[in-house]
Amino acid sequence: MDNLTGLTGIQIAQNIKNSKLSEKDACSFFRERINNNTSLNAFVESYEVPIGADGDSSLKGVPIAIKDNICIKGKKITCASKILSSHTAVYDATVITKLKNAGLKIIGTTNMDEFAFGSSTESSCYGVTKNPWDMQRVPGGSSGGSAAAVAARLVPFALGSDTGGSIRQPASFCGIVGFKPSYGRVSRYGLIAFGSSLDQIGPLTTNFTDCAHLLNIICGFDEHDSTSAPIEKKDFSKSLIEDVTGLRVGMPRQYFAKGIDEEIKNAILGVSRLLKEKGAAIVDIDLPHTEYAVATYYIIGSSEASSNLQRFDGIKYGLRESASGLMDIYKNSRRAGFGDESKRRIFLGTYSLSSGYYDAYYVRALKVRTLIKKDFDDAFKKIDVILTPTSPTAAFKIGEKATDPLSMYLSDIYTISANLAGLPAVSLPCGFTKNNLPIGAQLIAKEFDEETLIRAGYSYQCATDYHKRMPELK
Amino acid sequence: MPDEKQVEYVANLARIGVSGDEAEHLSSQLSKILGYIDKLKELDVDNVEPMRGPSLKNNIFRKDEATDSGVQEDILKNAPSREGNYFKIPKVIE
Amino acid sequence: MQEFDTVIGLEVHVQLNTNSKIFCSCSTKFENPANSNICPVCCGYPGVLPVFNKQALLLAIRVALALNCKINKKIYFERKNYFYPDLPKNYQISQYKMPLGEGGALSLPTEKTIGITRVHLEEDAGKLIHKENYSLVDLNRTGTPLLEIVSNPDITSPQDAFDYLSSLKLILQYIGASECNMEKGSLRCDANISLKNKGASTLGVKVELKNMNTFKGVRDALEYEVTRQSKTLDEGGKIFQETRLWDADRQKTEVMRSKEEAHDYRYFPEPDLLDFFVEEEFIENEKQFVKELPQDRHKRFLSQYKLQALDVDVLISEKFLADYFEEAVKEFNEPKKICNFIIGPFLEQVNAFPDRFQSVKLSAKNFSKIVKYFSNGLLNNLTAKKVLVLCISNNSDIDEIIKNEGLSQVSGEAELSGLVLEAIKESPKAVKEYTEGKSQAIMFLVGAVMKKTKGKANPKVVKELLEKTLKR
Repeated sequence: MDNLTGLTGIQIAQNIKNSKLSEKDACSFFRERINNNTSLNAFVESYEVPIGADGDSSLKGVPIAIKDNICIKGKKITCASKILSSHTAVYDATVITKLKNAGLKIIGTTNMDEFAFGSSTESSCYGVTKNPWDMQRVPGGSSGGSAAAVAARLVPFALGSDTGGSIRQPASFCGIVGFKPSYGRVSRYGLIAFGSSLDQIGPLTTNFTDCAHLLNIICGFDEHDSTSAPIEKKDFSKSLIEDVTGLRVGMPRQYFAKGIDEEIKNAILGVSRLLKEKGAAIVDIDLPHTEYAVATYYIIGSSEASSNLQRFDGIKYGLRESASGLMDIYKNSRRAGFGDESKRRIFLGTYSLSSGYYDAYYVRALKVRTLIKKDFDDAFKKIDVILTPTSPTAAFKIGEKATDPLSMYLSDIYTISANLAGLPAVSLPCGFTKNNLPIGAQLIAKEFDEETLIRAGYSYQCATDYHKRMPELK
Repeated sequence: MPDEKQVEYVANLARIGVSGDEAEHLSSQLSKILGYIDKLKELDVDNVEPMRGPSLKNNIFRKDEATDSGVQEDILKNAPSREGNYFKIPKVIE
Repeated sequence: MQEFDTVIGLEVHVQLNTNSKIFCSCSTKFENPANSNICPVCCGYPGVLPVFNKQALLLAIRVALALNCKINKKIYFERKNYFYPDLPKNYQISQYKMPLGEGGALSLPTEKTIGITRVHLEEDAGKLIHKENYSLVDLNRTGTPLLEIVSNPDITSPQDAFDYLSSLKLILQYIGASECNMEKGSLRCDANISLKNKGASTLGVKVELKNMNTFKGVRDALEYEVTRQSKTLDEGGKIFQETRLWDADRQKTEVMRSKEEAHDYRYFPEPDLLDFFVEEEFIENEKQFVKELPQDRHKRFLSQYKLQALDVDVLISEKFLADYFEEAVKEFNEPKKICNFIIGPFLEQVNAFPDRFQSVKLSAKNFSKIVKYFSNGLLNNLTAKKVLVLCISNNSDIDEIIKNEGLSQVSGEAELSGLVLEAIKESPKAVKEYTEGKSQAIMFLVGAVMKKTKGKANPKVVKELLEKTLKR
């Protein structure tokens, strides 16, 4: 087998099982692609010898890449931050243990926005990752390295993390499937925390079949994560059914109001038309508090992050700047170790929690979060799944929003609510702009109803070929 | 809106050194962001319960059994400075 | 000279008796070498998450019950944020808005009652070791479960504070919640003290006292402060709200040197731990440990068993002893004799075991048998002790041991008279002294006979036989 780029992960696994392909050759193939495409800057590190164990599953032997904020024992873990640039993980994240037990081969770690703060991968201490569809543009973020690597077929699939859209938005910018499970579906143990009540690990794949099989491997209750849900494990591959008959699809008016590109809007309307043709019912719905989601998210996410990132202090691990006293170790190490965006979030979060501002910002945001959740609860009384754009625009140019943090924050408007409400959501490729940039559609379902997302997404994919298109690499 | 003095107060709480210029820059950026966030004040949330997280009802416990992590040395190896089995830091004045 | 009322509140931290830490499974034995009981979780490694030790909650419920607190059915943890090198995450997981228990009370032996504001769970910090030019961090203690017990400002004298701490310690040890060893750091106490004009309703300025290492130290520091503050106020001076450290060597308090920073702990709910529901079953289970608290049991022992107060103090000081005593008395209704044997030979043995009562396998029933045999003369002082030594850690059959080891006391004249004659023959000097009127000399001869029987003879019978023989 000389070219594996056209194969899905599941197909590669089948070839390995039928001895048409060795695990070693599969790894070498993708390793060579990684080495030939370093200009994308998608990887932080690619491993000479892949990490894996002798486990078994439907994806046994398939290479996978991991976002650089998930711990792999004995390997460098940096969150693309200078403050951790010399840090070695001393334990495996639960998802890594699960991948090992399933026989997958970890071939490297991918670039990201520093500590997952960002929507463009520009805040990485390793420099920006390029969008394989247009090297002048960002791949989205914060899981930009994972998305670019999968889109460019440097690896069949990857894991990312999603706090406010960090899997879905880069998936949409790169033309792949990015899935954020319900809060509590996947253990967060070993994921370096950003916003603890928002973070989830999820797969970035080229298609829904791989997505369902990867979810089967990484989901499940974990005794190391008290916030993981002790609920029954499901076989998501059983939802790979081409049938949306009777599916009630809600389209929130607030998501198509202002600020959305006409091209994006039309692509999403195209999705709704197709689903309707296939037997789904399209319903207009209201999510009235949508316009407050970004503000709510930036308070809650930054508050939690400001506390989570206090552990990076130069005492036990990570960067220590030389200093005469303890206070200077803290202040100098954290000043030198954190990039601008991290500092902004830490400042914003510390301020929101500080005496005199706690009620006005933090508590108020928690209350608005209740209202946003209630919007969804009400909507899901009438519908099964919500269809929205993933992002108001396609991939933007590198540097375009770098000087205006607020405009960057606002680009997360469509993805943030699912994290605030803890709902599963997925971005799937649904078209291209006239500049040949991918467009993503987002589906959101009820808590723990990942199956509906897989069924709807798979059905859409059966009728389209956007997910099969590959960027041409120089 | 946080002025430079408040930025310095927050910088101290967060233990991040900032120069005067940086404080000024951060103050203007944070003011812009918080100006947007003030949008939340439009809403009447008096009778709304705060939502601390997506789900809150697990009652997950650990059994009281002691185990050896086996990674003590790996942890100490990551220390920027150590002496024997200790993490070494500048003199702390109590 | 003005008269002042003293207002004292105490904040006590006790380590709960668990095997493992509150949020990870590292051991809580911190006499182990530095940084040996550490793991990614208690070292605040990136990506780790806390998981709550159920036993810590159960012990905390037990304390809350013992202190008559109202137990909140739903609790959650919050993060207390501050940077310090002994706190690896630079936040402490604690309880703030929703503590486990509130509104309790503790009675002092003086019949005074001190209100308990709250009890809440939190994790302990590590330890710093200060060297000449640098400091070292040991995280063994980090994550040990702590219970903070806050009293109302009901304490009106340093002696009351001392009594409060003593009573609290007795209860916590008795119910098995904590070792409460101040020297070892398993109990720590900070005090708040202010003076107000006698009878006035407005409170004075509060001073926080730290660094007391014994209960006596707490009392001394408070006494020092009462004197210092009343003198200052008398002279028209001002008391400043500050933290002062007790210097036990110099017997005085001094303002903390490091500059007081405004505390802004930015408490917020710990998102890594969800709500915990204190189920009825948990509370019911813990109630068995607090049915009768030490002070009540003390009173009952005095009246029911007619024992000396000092002896009861010993029995009550440890629940195991009190329970063992009562069980033994059920089998052999001689409270005084049981008590003496427990406080004497039994405790001597227990104290020789490193893990004390855990090594005791001898049932109270079998123990009572030894006391019974001792009191009816089958065993003497020495042999009774020997039987105890032989079976305390294995609960062997008492009668069999006595038989196998040939320990039953020899009281028969027939068996002893020959040995008595031997002893007389061998010790002419003692015999001479005795017959010349030095009656004490007979004890030498008793000893000689005891030696010949390897301690098994009944010394009373031997003495009588000797007296009879020498009179002839």
